[in-house]
Amino acid sequence: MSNITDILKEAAKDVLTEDSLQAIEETFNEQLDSKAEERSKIAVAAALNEQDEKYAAKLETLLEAIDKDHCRKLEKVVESLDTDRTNKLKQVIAKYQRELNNEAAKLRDTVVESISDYLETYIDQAIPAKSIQEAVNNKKALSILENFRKTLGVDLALANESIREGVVDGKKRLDDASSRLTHLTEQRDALASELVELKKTIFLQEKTKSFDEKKSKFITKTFSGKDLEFIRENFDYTVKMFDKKHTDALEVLKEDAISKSQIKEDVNQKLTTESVKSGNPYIDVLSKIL
Amino acid sequence: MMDSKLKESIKSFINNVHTKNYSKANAELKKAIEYKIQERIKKAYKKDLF
Repeated sequence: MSNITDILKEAAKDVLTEDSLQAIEETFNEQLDSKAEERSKIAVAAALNEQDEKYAAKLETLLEAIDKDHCRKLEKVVESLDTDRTNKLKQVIAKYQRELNNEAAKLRDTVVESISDYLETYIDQAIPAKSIQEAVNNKKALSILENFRKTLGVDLALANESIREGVVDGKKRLDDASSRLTHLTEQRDALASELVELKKTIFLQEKTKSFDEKKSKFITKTFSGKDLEFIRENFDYTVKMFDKKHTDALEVLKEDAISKSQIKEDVNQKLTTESVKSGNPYIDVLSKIL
Repeated sequence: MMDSKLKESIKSFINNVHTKNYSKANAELKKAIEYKIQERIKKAYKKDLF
C-alpha cells in the first residue's frame, strides 16, 4: 500500500517540495493517529460500558442469590440460636427459682429457730425458776411425808403385840373361810349339774316310755348334751320328724315290693302268701335301715 | 425437734410482723410462748418433778 507522500508526489509533483510533503505527511500521520486513538478509546469505552452493564446485571443476580442464601442461612442460625438460648434461659430461670426457694426456706427455718431460741432465753429469764423449784420440792416433800405418815401409822399399830396377834388370827380365819367357800361352791356346782342331768333323764324316760326301743334310742341320741329347756321345746318336733322318716321308708318298701310282684305273676301269689304268713318283714327291713 | 404448732405460730408471727399487722403478731407471739411453757411442763412431768 502506498503512503500519503507517494500519493501527493504523484498528484502535485511539481507544486510541493520534498520538505512540504514531509511536513504534510507528518501532520497527516499525526492526525490519523490521534483520530485512531480517539476512535479506539471510544470503542473501548463503549465495550467497557457494555461489559460493565452485563457484569453489573450478572453481579446483581449473583448478589441477590447470595443474599437470599445468606438470609435463609442466617434465619436458620437465628432460629436455632434463639431456641438454644431460650432453653438455656429457661434452665437458668428454673435453677434460680429453685435456688431462691431453697434459700428462702432455709432463711425462714433459720429465723424460726432463732426466734424459738430467743423465746427460750426470754422464758428462762422471765420465769422465776427458783421459786418454782422450791414449790416443787415442797410438794414432793409433802407427799413423801404423807406416805411416811401412812406407813408409820400401820407400823405403830402392828408394833403392839396383842394387836398384831389379833390381826394375824383374823387373817388366818379369813383365809380358812375363803378356802371353804371355794370348796363349797365347787360342790354346789357339781350337784347342780347332776340335778340338771337327772331332770333331763327323767323327762326323756317319761316321754319315751310308750315308744319302741329304736325310737327311744333315736330321741335320746338326738338330745344328748342339750339342756332341758331345749329338749322341752324341740321334743314334739323330733318325734314328728322320726315318724315322718319311718312312714317314708315304709312307702318306699311298699312300692318296691309291688313293682317286683308285677314282673313274676306265678311266684307273686306264693310270695304274697308267705309275706302275710311271716308277719311284718317291712318293719324288719325298716328297723335294719333305721 | 420443734413442735409443729410452735413452728406454725412463729411463722405466723413473722408474717404478721412483715405485713405490719401487729395485733395479730402479738397474739401469735403469746401463743408461741404458751406452747414453749407447755413443752417445759410436759418435760417436768416426764421427769416427775411435780
